[in-house]
Amino acid sequence: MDLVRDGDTRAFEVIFDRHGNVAFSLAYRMCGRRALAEDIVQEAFTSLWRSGARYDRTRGSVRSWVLSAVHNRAIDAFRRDSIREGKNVPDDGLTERLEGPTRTAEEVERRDEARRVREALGALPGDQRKVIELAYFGGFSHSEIAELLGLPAGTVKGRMRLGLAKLKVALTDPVSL
Amino acid sequence: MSETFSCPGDAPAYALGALDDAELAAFTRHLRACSVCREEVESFEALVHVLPMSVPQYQAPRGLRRAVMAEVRADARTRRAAARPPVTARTPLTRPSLPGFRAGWVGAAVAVVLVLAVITVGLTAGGTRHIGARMYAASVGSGEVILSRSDNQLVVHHLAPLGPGRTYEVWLKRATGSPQPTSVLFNVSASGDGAVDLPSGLGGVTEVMVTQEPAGGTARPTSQPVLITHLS
Repeated sequence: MDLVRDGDTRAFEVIFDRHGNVAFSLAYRMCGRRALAEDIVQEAFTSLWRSGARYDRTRGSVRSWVLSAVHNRAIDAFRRDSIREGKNVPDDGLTERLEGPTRTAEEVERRDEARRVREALGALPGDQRKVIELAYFGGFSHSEIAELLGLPAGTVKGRMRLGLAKLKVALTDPVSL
Repeated sequence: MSETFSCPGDAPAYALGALDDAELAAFTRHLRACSVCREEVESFEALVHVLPMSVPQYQAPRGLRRAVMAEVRADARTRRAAARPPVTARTPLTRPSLPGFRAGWVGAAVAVVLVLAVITVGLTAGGTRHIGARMYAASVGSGEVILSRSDNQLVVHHLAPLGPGRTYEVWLKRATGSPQPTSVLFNVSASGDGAVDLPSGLGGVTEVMVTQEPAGGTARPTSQPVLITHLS
């Protein structure tokens, strides 16, 4: 990051190579359109390039920094264009799923983490998982979710809290790993 | 000392980005005073940051990598060019009217307002276009708006660096209606420099404004704008 801060484009290229796939996957999951996902990721990375000097490692990893930027850009796109198609993602030509044989220890670790997160999310009661997914991947506010699901806003907030609390236990409890 | 007697319990929704604008502003204020909620937010945000790992993983299209790096290299060239001594013209203007902003702004004490007019015309090798931008500031400062095919950028110089708990927030104003908040929050370096991306959909936007706000931003401006860029 120090090199990026100094304007080293090659160092930034390394960041894209390390995090570009998960960034694109998140954008695609959220918006459901390949072209829009590409726009979102491009906006996010160029924004990160220009704000590299403001990266604060005490506030999270580079991956979190990248994914937060992608998430924020996708939410901006939702608000701008009223696009919310992430719930059922159409596969418009995306055939390069990352399911090939693993090659590096880093990839093994990432896939293991992804599996644990998927399992923890999948283990949540459906009503709690739904409000978390609508909020994070769908970009809906809790009041919008309440309206969508015909629930009191307090119930939606309660389900968010319960769901995240269970995720925390599942992802930090060594027994569940 | 108890700090939790009035906690709204919004940490989960805050971490998920699911608070409405008014709630977000209120909870952001609450966070400044409540260490319990701050810790809870940090804990939930750490969880939220791993949620992207749960989605099906795809290979980023090769063209995307090329496009990103082309933009980055073009920006690096622009920065190097901008590092040379600038040739700009400073023209003092009268204070701008601020339709749509709170009446309190108008009555607030005003420091000297300087306007920096930056008029640069032409296309760079990277396809970036510098358009005429008029920047208003309550203190000495300068800036410009840079538009390109893929994004729009606001670059500022010599603004006051903000302390903890404060941020610059970017607002978009159209011909009608009040200024709308964006997710673009930033601070400047110790030398007062900063560069942020503006939302790409600026169709119909007539003014880009910047105000100083509490950390986390607000849904409505709470202070006078320090910068106004007229796009039209």
